[in-house]
Amino acid sequence: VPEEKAEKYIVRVTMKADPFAIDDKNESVIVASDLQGR
Amino acid sequence: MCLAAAGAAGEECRLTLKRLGSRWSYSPSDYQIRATYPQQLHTQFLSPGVAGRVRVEVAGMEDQAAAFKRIVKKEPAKYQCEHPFKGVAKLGGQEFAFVFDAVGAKPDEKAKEEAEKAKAAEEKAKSKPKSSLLGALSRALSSDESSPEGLRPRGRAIIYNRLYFDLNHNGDLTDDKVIESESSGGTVYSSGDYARAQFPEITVPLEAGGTKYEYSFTMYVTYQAINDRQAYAYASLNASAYREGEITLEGKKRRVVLVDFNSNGRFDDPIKLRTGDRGRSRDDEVYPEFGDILLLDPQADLPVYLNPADATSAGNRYHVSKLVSIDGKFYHLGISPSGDKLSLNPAAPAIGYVTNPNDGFTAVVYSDEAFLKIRGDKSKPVPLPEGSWKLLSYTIDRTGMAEAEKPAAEKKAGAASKEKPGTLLEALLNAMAGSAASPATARPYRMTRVSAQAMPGYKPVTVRKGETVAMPFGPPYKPVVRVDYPSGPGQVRLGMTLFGSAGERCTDMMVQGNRPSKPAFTISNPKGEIVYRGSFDYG
Repeated sequence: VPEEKAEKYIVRVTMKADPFAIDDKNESVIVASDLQGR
Repeated sequence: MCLAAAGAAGEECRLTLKRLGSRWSYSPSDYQIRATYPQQLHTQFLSPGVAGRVRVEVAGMEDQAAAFKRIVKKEPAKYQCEHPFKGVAKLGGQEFAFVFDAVGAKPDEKAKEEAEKAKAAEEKAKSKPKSSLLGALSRALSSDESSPEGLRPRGRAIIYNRLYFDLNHNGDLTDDKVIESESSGGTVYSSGDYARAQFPEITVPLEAGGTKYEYSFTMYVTYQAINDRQAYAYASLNASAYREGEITLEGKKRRVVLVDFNSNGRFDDPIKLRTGDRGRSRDDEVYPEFGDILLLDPQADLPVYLNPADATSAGNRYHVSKLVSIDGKFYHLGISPSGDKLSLNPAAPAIGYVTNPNDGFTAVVYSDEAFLKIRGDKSKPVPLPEGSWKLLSYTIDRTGMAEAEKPAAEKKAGAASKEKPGTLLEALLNAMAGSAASPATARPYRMTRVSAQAMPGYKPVTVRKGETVAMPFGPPYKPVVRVDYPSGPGQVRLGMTLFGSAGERCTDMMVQGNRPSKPAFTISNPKGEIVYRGSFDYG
């Protein structure tokens, strides 16, 4: 995998669902090759 | 009708067979009995030269064809349509062959009119290149690489309107009454390359466990033409018979309804864990293989919202299992294969307790011995037999609890809000029930609840006699984002799933009658710069 395609992007989600708690420290990792389409 | 005590304070009762009748126009109380999981039967049709290069294989099709060949001794001399759909249904442990055929004029004038309109639209579309998602899917499903599928003419759907069903189970499809499709309302639908037809309630004599009974079911069938050389057909068979009676528990008379939820003609099927990869999602959560469903006092304890496949969604709903927990007490459940006899005998296992930090939870837990539904609150340990227990699914229902915490003015404002349209889940469940009718469940007012399905890796909880142990699940929920699929050149579609504190996958969430506000997201590059902002839609 070329270096530029292996770069990692971070997705952070903000969501309110009271009274059900949502983890606001969440982070999902997506590699560049996925974001550019497969 | 109670027959006799079958043990210390145990009860055995006889259950009468009832029929559901037409699948149209039914009430919420009816829905909890009518919503069943169908037997699903598939076939595919290929023109010569296409076979052997098909990319989509539907599990079970070859078995169907082999079983049909094995059991059918005589067929009608000629079928009227190009692609008769031949299959085998299993009812009461026996195999019944059937064939869908299409004869004469369309059974419904409206459908005919729609088909003509669709044909005209097709002709128009022929001059245009395919660029839609459907077109792309059609091309993906196709295998004829020598001829680009975008250039192949579209196929015409067959509206099946005749059913040969070997009702007398003699292998002869010519000596049974021919069943015609229904032809009113929305029971027949066609849109050019897709057609759907519903058949009326069918009654067939069965024998299970030495008892003969008249079982009823309904079928609908769909036909999807991929192009002029490939098509798929799908039939769905749903139970249209159930058992009903009365039993006395703890001195109280209880109405008993037994639903053949897996639509196989028997009423004694326990819920099990599905094995292998069949039906697994990419999240790999624990999928049950549905058995039958026991309802206690279904009319008196009508659920405001029902997921028929999940017993945690309704207080009166129990999965058939060797052991059941009713009002905090345990019973050995016995059911005859035909469902005519049911017994509930008190069980006295060594008991321990589990706790969970959520109010208003209902969970299905399982061990090697049984699947049990438990209900509790954070302040109340729930009894469970000694053993190793894992979580299958749960619902945390905070309806009313959140409301009580609101200021009075906000409560008043909320009271003016109207009922919202049905959710996608409701639509899916309705489809599962094999009906195109409107969602039958009453839309609960300002419902606040979350449901989730556990993963196979859930760490078992060991319950010991007299001891209390934590059974973890529930919030906080962690959003996890993944790439679903490429949605175009240089574009991808992202999907988000909520996972609970024990790794369970959230399957439904409502807050005061609505979905929570749309989850927003940002994407940051390796330098930490935000390169995209967006929000997720539900669905």
